[in-house]
Order: sequence, then structure tokens, then C-alpha cells
Amino acid sequence: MRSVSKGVNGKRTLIPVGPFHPLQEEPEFFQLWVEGETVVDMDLRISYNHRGIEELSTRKTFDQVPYLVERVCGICSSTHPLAYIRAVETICGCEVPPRAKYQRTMVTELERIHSHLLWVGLAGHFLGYNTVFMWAWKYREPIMEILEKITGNRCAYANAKIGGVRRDIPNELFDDIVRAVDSCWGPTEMLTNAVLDDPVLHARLVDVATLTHEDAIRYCVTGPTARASGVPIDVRRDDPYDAFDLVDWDVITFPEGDVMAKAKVRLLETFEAIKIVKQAVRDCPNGETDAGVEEVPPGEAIGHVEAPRGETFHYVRSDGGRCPVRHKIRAPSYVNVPSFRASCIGQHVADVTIAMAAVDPCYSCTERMAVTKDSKTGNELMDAKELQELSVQRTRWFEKQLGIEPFDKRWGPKLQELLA
Amino acid sequence: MSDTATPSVIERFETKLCDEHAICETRKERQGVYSVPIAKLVPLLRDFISNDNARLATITGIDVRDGTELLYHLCFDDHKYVATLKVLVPRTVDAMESITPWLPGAEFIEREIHDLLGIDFTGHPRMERLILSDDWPEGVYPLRRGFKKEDAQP
Amino acid sequence: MNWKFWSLKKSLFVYHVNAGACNNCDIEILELLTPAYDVERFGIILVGSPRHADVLLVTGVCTRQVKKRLQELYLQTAKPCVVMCIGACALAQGIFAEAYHVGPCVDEVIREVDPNAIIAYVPGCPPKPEAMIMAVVKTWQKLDELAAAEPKPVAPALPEVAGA
Repeated sequence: MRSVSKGVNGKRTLIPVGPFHPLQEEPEFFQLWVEGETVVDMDLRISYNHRGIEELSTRKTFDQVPYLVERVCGICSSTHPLAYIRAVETICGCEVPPRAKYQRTMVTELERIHSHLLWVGLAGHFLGYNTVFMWAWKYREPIMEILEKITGNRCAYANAKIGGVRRDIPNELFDDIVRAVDSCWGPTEMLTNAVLDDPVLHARLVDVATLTHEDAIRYCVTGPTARASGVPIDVRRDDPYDAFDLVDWDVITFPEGDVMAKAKVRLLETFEAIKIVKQAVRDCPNGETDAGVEEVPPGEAIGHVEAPRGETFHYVRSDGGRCPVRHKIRAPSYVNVPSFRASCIGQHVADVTIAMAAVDPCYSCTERMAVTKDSKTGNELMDAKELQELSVQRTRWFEKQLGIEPFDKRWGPKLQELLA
Repeated sequence: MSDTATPSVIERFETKLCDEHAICETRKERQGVYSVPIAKLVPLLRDFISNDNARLATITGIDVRDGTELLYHLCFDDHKYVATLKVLVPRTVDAMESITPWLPGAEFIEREIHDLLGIDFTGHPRMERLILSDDWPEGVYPLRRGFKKEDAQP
Repeated sequence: MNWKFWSLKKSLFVYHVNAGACNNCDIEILELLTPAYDVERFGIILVGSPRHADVLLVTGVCTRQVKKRLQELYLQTAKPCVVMCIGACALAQGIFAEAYHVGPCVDEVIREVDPNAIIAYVPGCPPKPEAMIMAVVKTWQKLDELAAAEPKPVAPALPEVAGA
């Protein structure tokens, strides 16, 4: 852990981040309380994206709900319907035909590849490493194209339905899928090597915003965020669905919990996803793709699947009618985001950027600064003079760390000469 | 890799639950719903989470005739099992003991239920509005039965 | 030719506003800026502040919480500013039209603060990147029309230079 300069008189500065901020995908409003450059407290206000899908879902029929829930999040648009469908299939007690299982697996894993590459790109963007951003987004393009080819849309695939898949992926397209994922392997390998070798990325990512094993359990985090903190949970293994227990793959875990570990988990998972897709294509049997579910009996069940960001959890209750009585949706970020409190407090303001991005609800740097009064206590947080004093103090600290002479000594006489 | 839940462990959970007067409502291959007396819920959750490696997935709130049902979904990841503990919060009470003080991961989940269903979680450190807009009227809960969009005009 | 519109056309600076979208449109917008579609070659670039923006790319339904902030963002942009409603939600709220936490349509929200706002609509859920490029081209054509319709500004006469 790096040492951090203390604030002037222990006063705090409030840095509002959002609700609309460059680079970020979603509107969220963070308030960072900082002392010097250390974040000492933070708060989050959401609601900007709240549309009321859970209530809307009870007014749609069972067959319409998948279209609605795939619009919960566009990047996880195959996993939300799948979690809902798993819940409804458990209520019905129906058996999905094997061909449908394999095809669902293909689409979910293709989505995981494009989502992880998207994250790597955005993480690079947040760090100011735009080459990685451009590369990663270029390499995910073949995946988007193959998804369009096999499902009909680049995002929002609508491929799964209760009891099977809506549209069969013809065998002729299987070769294209293999070609697309193969074209992804090499670039991902190159990206992984670039990330693991780069000393600058090491400096920015290692030991930054560490989420300890204990905190990961206390905050109930899921997905890559948990696996990077040494919590080996993965719904694909812990509650296997579709074809995940029929193909061979590994759960990637790292014990460190820092941002680097999260990047490594995601990059290595991309390879696992490519392996799964290739095996699913190889093993996919011929046959029916729809169990033909007509009615949903009364009952209640949960369904959960592993989205690229973690566990997507749905609960459905039916009273035997046409629409669900209650449909609860819990997206993975909802449990991953609060872990900011454990990982970001005590960090440098500059590192919070990537720390927030690390759990993958993209968030970026702290650009605007306000000098305000704390609404609760009425204490003035920090004024302009103190801020300037602080920045001078900070420069001195850096000069000392780097072993260079203070600016005044190096440039003072020269400056005087020039001005004279 | 076995495909079903570990039976012996599930039996142990169920014995633990039955000792606390819980009733098994539904039992599927890898998930079950148990109705639990309201006073026993928090000790049971605490026991499962600290001793049995359970993970709180989320809490579902459902508005029913006599009050609000709260469903605590616990994932036993090591045993391929998801247990749902169900309690009924009577309409006259509309309050529940918060689990956030010892499980910070529940903070947002409880605040969401507070916003959408009007359940007060006692002992919660920040029981503030989280997911409804600033101009949303107080005392209007969108997931309660009989809610109309017109009631929520600013 | 009106200089205001003529200069607006040259290099469009876009600012992206997610007004409660599902990220589908947003990742497609980013897709536009990355090598696969690369609209930077036409001078279109994403900027970090609405004050620099010529175009406001609005995605999503405009939730109740976002409404006021969206108006504020629009007022902060330099005028003339083109608002592009991207995707079915921004057009007419799409699948979320009946949800309880949704405000008015994006164009209504913008027109509330500026009745003469220039608004372009890109349908699709999400629109394909090609469709968005098409929308930009059409916006350019529209700006040309607007520029032609406005009276040509008269260049100020240069002062006589003594002894020239």
C-alpha cells in the first residue's frame, strides 16, 4: 500500500461524480469525500436507470417477459431471460431438449466473450490506455457479427424461450461460429500478454482497490469480482444449467483481490468461454429444440445463471394465470457495486476510477470538484486556498519521493533572470 | 461432478430448520422454500451464513393479502442448493430486523425493499431513498397491490 | 449560407447521455467510435462535457430522476445543438411505455425547455451502427437546408486603410 498525504486540518473535500459523466455508460451519482487525496467515505445514489421492470413484468404474459428482461441490461441480454426461463421451467418441471441446451450455451458464452473484451477495452480507456480500448473493441467485432448471424441481432438476441430456443441455429452456421471464436483467440492472447507484461499497468493495477476475501464474503459479491478475491463461486459449476456440466472448462480464481486480479480473471475466462463454445459446437446433437410448454402451473421458483458480471438471480411466482404474480430480478452489479465501500475507501482519488470500473459497472475519473458545505453537519469542507496549499504540499511530497530538487531551487533563479 | 444437491447436507439444513419450527413448502431437486417464524429468521440466517458458507443472493418482497412476504434466498454454493426462507411481515407491523449491521452486502437490498414496498428495516444504518426519484411522493409504494401510476404524480 | 450551421457541420462533437437505457444503444455508440466503424474519420468525436457538444446523443427512456438533469444538460450545450434520440426507448419509450418510473418522452422533455430544438430520431432496438451513421448523414443534409433557409449574413465592410 502506498503512503498518502493527509488533508489540511483533516478537512474533507466532496467530489461529486455523475450523474452524467464522460466515459461512463450508466448514470449513477457517486459522492466521494476525500481528505487530501485519500477517499475517506463514499455514497451512491441510483434511480437514474430505474424503470420499474419488476412491476411491468407482472403485466406481461409468461412468453412476453423474456423480451422485457433482456432489456434490463443490454450487455447481459442473454442471461437475464435465461435466468427467468430457468425459474419458469422449474415451476413447469419440463425437460429442455439437448440441442436447445447446447445452443443456449453457445449464445451465453459468445456473449461472455464480447462482454469481457468490452470490459478490457473500457478499463484501458479509464486508465488512459486508449490503444487497448481500440484493440479490444476491434477484436470483439467478429463475435458481434456471428451473434447477428445466428440470432438475428447484434444485441438483444431473444434466442431462448420457455422450454427451448425460439429459433434453431442451423448446422451450416456452426463452422462460422468456430471461425469467429478462433479469430478471437490470438488477439485475446496478445492482449493478455500485453496486460500482464506492461510495467505501467502493473503500477496502476497491482495492489489497487483490494477487496479482501473476507470483504468479498461479507458483501456477498458474485462473478469475476468474487473470483478475483479467492471466492470460487460460479453458478455454471455450482448449479449447472444447460450444457455446462457436459463440457470441460475451469473456474478461474485468483486470491489477490486487486484490480489486476479482476483483469486476469476476465481475460482468462475469455479463453474458457472460447473453449466452451467450441465444445458446444462440436457436441451439439441433432433433434428437437422446443419442449412445447403450453401452460405454467401455480408455483414459485428461483432461477440463477452466471452472467459475465456475476450471478443473475430471478424469482418467479405464478398463480396459474397468464402473467407472473411476482417477478424479482437481481442483477449482479446490485451486489457488486456496494463493495466499493470496502475496496475504494483509503485509496487515492486517481485510483478510484479504475477501482470503480473493476467490478464492471463502468465508471470513470473524477473530473469536477466542488467546494461545498456538508449538508448534514454544515461544516465547510475546504476552500480554494486550502486546496492550493494542499496541491503544493502534494508536489513537494512527489519531489521528495522521486528525489528531485524542488521547482523553486531548479527554476527560481532562471525564472528571475527571464523576468528581469 | 455430480448433478444433484448433496443429500446428507440438505437433510442437515432441514433438521436445523425444523428445530426452529420451519415448514417446508416446496422442495425441488436443487431448491426449496421454507416458511420460518419471524422471530427465528435472523438467528437462522446468521447461523447459515457464518457456519454453513451460505451466501445471501437477495431478498424478495411480495405484497400479499395479510402483509408482506419477505423471501431470503440463500445459495449454498458448495452443495448445489438454494434455500428460500420465507417470513410474513404483518401489515400492522411493516417492520423487520435489519441484517445490514453484520452483513453489509444486504444494505442496498433492504433499501430497495424499503423504497418499493414500504418495509422499515430496524437497525439499518442508512434507511434513505435509493432507487425512486427525488420527486416521488412519500408513502406511495409501487410494488404494493392497488398501486396506480397516477398516485405517484409529483 | 449561414455560418452558424455551416460551422456546426464541420466536425461534430458528440456528448453521450444515458437517460435510463439498457446499455444496448450505448455499446453500439461506442462501437461506432472504435476501429470497426470508426466515425472519427468524419470528424465525429466523443467529448467529455456538454459545453463542448454539437450533438447530444440521448439513449433510453428518460426516467423521472433523469428528466431535470437532461434538460439541464441540454441548456448547457452550445446552440445550435442537435439532439439525437437513439433507439426505440428514446423515440417513444418502447417496451417501457407503461412503467411507473418513466417520465415524458425525450423529445417532449427537450421541447419543454427549447421549443425549436433540432431533434433527430434513430429507430431500432438497438439501432445498428450503420443506421446511426445514416442518421448523421441525414442530419447533415437537414443542417444544409436550415443554413440555406436562413438569410445570408452580410460580411462587414473592411475599413479603408490609409495610404493603401
